[in-house]
Amino acid sequence: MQFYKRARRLSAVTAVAAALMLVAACGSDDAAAGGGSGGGGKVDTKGLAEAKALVKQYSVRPTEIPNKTPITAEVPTGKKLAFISCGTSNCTLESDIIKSATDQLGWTLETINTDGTPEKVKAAWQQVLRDKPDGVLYSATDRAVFEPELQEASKAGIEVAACCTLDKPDGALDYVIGTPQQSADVGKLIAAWVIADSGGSADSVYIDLSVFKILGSVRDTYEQTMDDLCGDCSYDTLDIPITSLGKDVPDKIVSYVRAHPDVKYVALSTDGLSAGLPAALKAAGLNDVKVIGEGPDETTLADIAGGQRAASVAFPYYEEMYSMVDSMVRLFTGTPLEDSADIAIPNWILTADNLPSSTELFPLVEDVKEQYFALWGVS
Amino acid sequence: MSAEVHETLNEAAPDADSLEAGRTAVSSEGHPAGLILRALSPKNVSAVYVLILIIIVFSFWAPDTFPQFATVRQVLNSNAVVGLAALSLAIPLSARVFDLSFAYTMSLTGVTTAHFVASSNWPLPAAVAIALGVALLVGFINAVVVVVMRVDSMIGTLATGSIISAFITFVTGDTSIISGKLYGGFSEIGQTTRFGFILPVYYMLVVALVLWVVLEYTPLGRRIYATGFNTEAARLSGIRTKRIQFCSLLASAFIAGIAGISLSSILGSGSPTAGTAYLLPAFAAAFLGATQIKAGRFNAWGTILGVITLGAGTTGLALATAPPWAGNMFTGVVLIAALAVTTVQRKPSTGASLLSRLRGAKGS
Repeated sequence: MQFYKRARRLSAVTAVAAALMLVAACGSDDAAAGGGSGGGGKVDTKGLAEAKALVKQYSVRPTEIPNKTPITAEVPTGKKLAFISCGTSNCTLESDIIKSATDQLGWTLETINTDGTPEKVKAAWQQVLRDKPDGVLYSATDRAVFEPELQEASKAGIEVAACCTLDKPDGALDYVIGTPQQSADVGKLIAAWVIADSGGSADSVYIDLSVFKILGSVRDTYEQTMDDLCGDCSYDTLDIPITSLGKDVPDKIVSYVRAHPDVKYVALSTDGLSAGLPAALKAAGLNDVKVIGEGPDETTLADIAGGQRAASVAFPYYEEMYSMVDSMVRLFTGTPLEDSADIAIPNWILTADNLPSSTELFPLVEDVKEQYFALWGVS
Repeated sequence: MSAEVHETLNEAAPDADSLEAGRTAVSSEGHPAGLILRALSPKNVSAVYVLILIIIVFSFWAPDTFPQFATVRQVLNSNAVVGLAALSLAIPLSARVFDLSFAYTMSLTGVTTAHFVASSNWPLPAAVAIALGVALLVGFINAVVVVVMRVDSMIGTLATGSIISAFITFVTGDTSIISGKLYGGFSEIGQTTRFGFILPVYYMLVVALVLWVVLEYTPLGRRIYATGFNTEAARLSGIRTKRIQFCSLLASAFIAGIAGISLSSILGSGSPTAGTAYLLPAFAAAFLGATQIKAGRFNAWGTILGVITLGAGTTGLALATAPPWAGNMFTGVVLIAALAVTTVQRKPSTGASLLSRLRGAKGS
């Protein structure tokens, strides 16, 4: 009897050991999927100069809004828009920005809050079909979830514009701003900053959230820029599962950096991954690791101002929301929509040296509202 | 369900194996070596042996990074909140009640503190005091539902958790509270380091120390265990079991409040869903802890040992660049293995004992 009990105890411990070995054997280096050019060579001076030029150019506050063509027809008042909010604090900000535009136009805005889940988003679209607004704006959701409702809205004459999505415009979806192509420069700028700051010899890790397909173009341009401009840099990609968000993202990144002590730059695909990261790096004694990302919130701005974060590429909330409203203005006045290829999204690399505010989000183009109001011919 | 858990854990104690160990101890009574050997038996501290195994495996697997003091810091720093959450469960589980709402209480206290710091000009201590007061209010509501209204604790606290979640959504619109005002004093609660460890590590150790003293060295602790082992027998022997269970839910919510404020400070924001990610890890650590040091009893240092063991494994896997699913798999395997070791010490699992457990679960 004793023998069997001890044998079972031993088997339990053996199970743990076997699990450890299996997991490590199966998984070694899998998490670090991705490429990387070799380090240790000669610095690519031409590439470094180009990276520095990019950083210099985009460290200056932009002045141009995405849309350029003035609207000559009179903008009708009394229009009703609906905004389907995606359930994050960023979407709340987007709603406020859109409202500042619709108020100026004499329109009304109804914000339909969702938690971003498919069922809530679908329910929001069903509400749209009941309310029948003149136009609908949505952000960062996939039209596959509400395709039947979208087609029905189109038949009902409801104009639709979207932001920050892979959805392509067609008969039902009139306009998209923040397409993967338009957002691709973000990855290029993050890579350029890493190259420039390291003097052309950075070991970096790109933290991906591959579940969000929209971020794929950012990763692609990061890797492409590293390959093109920095022969002496090496990079890797760490993919974070969505189940880690709000839980152990900082720990995963700290573990990666500890396991790869040459890595001194962490490039975040989105600053949503930054929560708790500066504190975790500091607690782990990794004070020489620099972090850059994209789309800072107020906490990230404060971290940059306080020196806990190196840099971030600002997200053009104001510019993209106003561009969506601009599309509605054009559709309601019969003005042709601008070609997506002609639209340039403003970008701005934020550091402690050029940060306009560390407590609240701000437009990239300082007079974005005034420029759009002038475009629309409203005072 | 709670009865089933207690049956499972309590049956670990007096079996043939233990009696043999007892005879050994009696024969070596008065010999410190015998006492030390008994304390170090795999039956008491199997997680220590698993921890040693983890250290050995990863010292070979990741020799440049794992066997360093930095790993100790990382394990403790990244698991301090899990430890606090698990400790919040130890008291109600010891008193035979579940508190599934602790994770929502964590979210609520984090959001409350962040709200008062960011949106109002309240001083930080006042914001923290209000958040802890809110946590106690949640504990009070839990206690009324479970003890006064006699709703099964698992269902009752699940329901109150849902209500808390609704309240958080009502107040925050399901969006995180983010503000530059959270940078500074508020973030120092969870981000300040002393000797390489963030303050929540010390909070965890202090809470564990208090729990250890209360559970091991006070009449209250013995009453809590008595209530948990056999509520009816405890009641008949004069223990106010309802009061014990009532207060255990208050204590659970209070400690969950500390965990929630710490987590919110570490994240630098008030996230409406921050706590829910800790539901399973905290229960895993608490149950693993109940198989350690005082096998069959939820106890403070066993819980800490469980947290450290699971944390060391997941950190080692991350340092060995294991795939993302490896951490959860490891936690599951260790939990099953630890409970299996404990189960071995029990009587053979006959149909009678199974029926007994089912009866206990039904009656709970």
